[in-house]
Amino acid sequence: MNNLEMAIKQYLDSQNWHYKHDEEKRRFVLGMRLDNEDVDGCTLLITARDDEDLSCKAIYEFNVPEKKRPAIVEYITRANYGLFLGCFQMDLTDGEVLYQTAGVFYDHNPDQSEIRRIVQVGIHMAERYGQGFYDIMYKGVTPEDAIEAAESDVQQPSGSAPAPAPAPSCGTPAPAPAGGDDDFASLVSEMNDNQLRSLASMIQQELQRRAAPPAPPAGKKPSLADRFRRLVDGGGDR
Amino acid sequence: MNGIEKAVKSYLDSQNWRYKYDEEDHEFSLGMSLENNDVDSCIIVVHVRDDEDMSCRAIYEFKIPEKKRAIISDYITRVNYGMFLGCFQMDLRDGEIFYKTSSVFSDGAPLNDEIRRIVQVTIHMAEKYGDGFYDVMYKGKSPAETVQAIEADD
Repeated sequence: MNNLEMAIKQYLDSQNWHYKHDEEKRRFVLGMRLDNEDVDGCTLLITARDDEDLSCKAIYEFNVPEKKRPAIVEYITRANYGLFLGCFQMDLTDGEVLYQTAGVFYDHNPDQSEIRRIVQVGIHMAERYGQGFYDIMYKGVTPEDAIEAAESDVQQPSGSAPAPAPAPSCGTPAPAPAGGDDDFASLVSEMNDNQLRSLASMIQQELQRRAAPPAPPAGKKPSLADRFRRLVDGGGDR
Repeated sequence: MNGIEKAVKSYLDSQNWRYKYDEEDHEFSLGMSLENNDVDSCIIVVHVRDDEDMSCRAIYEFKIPEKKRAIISDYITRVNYGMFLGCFQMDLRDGEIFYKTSSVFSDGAPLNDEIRRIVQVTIHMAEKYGDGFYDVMYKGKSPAETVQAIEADD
């Protein structure tokens, strides 16, 4: 085993994941559950290509039927746009679909956080977009609608695949938190100083409102959630 | 400038390339000529996201017409299959197309070799597959035969 393989092994062992190690091909293979209704599993292939290159493939257990490949081509083109680390790939000869991430490590042993990120992004993306494949192939959903569903509903994976921080798409505003402390913390960390001050002010107002008796209704006002969304979308707190 | 930006600057300077540096957006941008018949240039944009992340995009100067986006989606899907580092991305809203590589560096500034590889892979891929876009869009060639022809030259 070279240093890269040892680092991968160390990471997989730290997660208590069962895997097979193919010494000749320098790769680790394991099954992974995905928290989706229909696309609920994939195979992870983590390969140390040499002392410097690592690839992680999350391969779905289905193959896309030939008649569905044009729609899936559109889906993965939409999904890939703006992704930072890795991308979806499809073999148009047989319909195999996978998400691949990779890392290059010159002259240093990758540390566990680098391995973790490469692997976890792969799992997370396979899970996030996985249901969309099924919806397009078998439920008549368009690629555009499937993307909207995948990107508006950030799901937390099951316990066997702990969630990494999701990679945001370039050029799109951060969505309002779908729930969960990790989503909210990630959103807050992306705010600028003025947005943070506005958020602090909104929180203070809400605390005061809860402490005071309810005021009579005075016409339609935006809800706190609406104000928060506008703040995040860059419109300010109006 | 953080450690990654300094490493990027050092690499670009070592190549004697002229570039613009946007301090606010943490971006370096430069024009790059490509050795192709039709698609002979692109814009390279190196973006440093924070102290750990860097991406490099080779953005073509043309946009894919709406009627050609389906067939170009097929083309880039065929090209992307098997790619190790980076991939082609297309914005289906306006037809912008580029090759993007990225990397994470969690332990300080990247080495010159790492920056070089990321930038050079991006340029190489943009050049290698560049004329294929033109062949598919305007010369009636199928994505499959275009990719086959390009990769047969390897």
